[in-house]
Amino acid sequence: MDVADTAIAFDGASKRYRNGTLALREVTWSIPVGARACLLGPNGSGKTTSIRLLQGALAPTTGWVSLLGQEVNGPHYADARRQCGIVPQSAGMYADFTTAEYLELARRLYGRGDVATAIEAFGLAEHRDKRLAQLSGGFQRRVVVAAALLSEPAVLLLDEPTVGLDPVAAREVHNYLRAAMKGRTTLLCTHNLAEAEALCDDVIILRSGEVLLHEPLARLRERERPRTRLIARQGAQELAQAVRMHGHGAEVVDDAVIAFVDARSAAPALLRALLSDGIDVYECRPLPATLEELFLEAVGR
Amino acid sequence: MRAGVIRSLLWKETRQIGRNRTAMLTATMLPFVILFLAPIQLLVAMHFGGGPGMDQLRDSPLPGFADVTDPRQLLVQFFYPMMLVIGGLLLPSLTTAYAIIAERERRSLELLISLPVTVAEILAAKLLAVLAVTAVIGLPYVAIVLTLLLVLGIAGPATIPALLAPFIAAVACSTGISLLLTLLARDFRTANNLSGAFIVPALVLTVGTLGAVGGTARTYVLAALLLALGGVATLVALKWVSVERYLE
Repeated sequence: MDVADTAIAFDGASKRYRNGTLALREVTWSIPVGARACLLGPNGSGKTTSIRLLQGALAPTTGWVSLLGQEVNGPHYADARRQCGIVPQSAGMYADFTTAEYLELARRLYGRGDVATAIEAFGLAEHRDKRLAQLSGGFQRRVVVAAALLSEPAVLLLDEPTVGLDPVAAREVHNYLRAAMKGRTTLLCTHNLAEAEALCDDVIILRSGEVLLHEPLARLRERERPRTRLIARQGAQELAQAVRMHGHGAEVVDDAVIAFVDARSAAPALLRALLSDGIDVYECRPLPATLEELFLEAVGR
Repeated sequence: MRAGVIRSLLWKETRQIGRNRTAMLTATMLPFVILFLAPIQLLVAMHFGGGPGMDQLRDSPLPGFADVTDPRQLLVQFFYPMMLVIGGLLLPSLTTAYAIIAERERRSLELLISLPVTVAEILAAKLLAVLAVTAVIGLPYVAIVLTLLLVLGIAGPATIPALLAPFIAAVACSTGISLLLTLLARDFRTANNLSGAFIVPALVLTVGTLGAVGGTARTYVLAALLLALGGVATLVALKWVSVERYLE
């Protein structure tokens, strides 16, 4: 990948904290300009450390990290950093700053943006003069997203943007993010696999500070074992036996059978055979693996 | 470090310190007593009062001050430098602790570093804000007392820099020490206790230096020592302690 096309890059980057914890182990990965990637991984896998390295708050112990082609904390990093909006993971809020004041601080630091427009765009007009700590979790997150987008950045770093929010507030934030991510390079750190699936195209899975997998979500799906869910009047046990007799693997899950056949290419023939055997199949549908299943398979659990 | 960013952060810091009633009350009352009330009381007692205290000082001078024959000169060579150092040490410690620990306790450092700033810029702005608050609150008191010394003929113009030097050095020293102690402390209370405990060795250093160094150089030597101490503390804080531990 050409450096000019690379939005975010880690090259042999490690981070060892002062307490000895090795949070990242010589990771190498990159995403191109315009990509929407999610960084998945269990707790302690190095997701937040990766974000903090990108934002220049921490320095890598070895290797290097770059943002929009500029090495983090290098001579031109400050320019790249001003092109990057960050939504931190459940950060504390200033009790002595109002929404408008915090956004004004963000505007001053980015050197551009319009506070009034951001307040309007994120539905914050009623809360303009309220102290940040007085806002509900959903509105606090809206303010943080508004601050990240105030300067129309080219890159968005989202660290667990909806963690701790109720489903309604999370959906509102998703709507804002979905609109904001259009045309922007986005790196989303999340535990929420549905969120990752809804918002991203590429997946990077970290475990114990190492990159376990990095590929487009679509390709990850291609690798999954094809599955079709079947239900018959005769019951799951009899149906599973019939499926196996036709040379396919089958697993009983509650009252249904998961047949390991591709729904598009092999299921019609299997269905015809089962019906001719006198098995009254009344439900047959493809069963795509959820990202959670793909994730668990990738991390080996 | 970028001047524009520091200016914006300074705007944030001074607003936040100004809105904290406890920090402002302590930062205002303490220097009023140490840098204004006590020096004026001493000045009135020594210049206008005379009395047994004056005679006692004349007959048995303080250790290291045998060369000072006029007890009023003890004001400018011992008592005032000591008060200015105490005031200079106490004044920035609370605001430094507030500016840094509050950010840690409410976990707003994560929020701040999500904006395009560096940790060094954040710390620089905090220290500048502390110095600005200290200057605004402390310097007027010091200016009044020094003016009175000049008007009453107790001190000449050359004494003014000799008295200002230890005050400014104490403020710088206290800021550096407070930065180090605040980064090491777990919470606001611990940071304040540690800063308070530091006053004792600082006073020993002050009295020792004023007594050991003779003549008019004594306050300048004291200032140099305080600056060196503050410099070392700042270096240790930034190089070995660092804000990184807040983010781990």
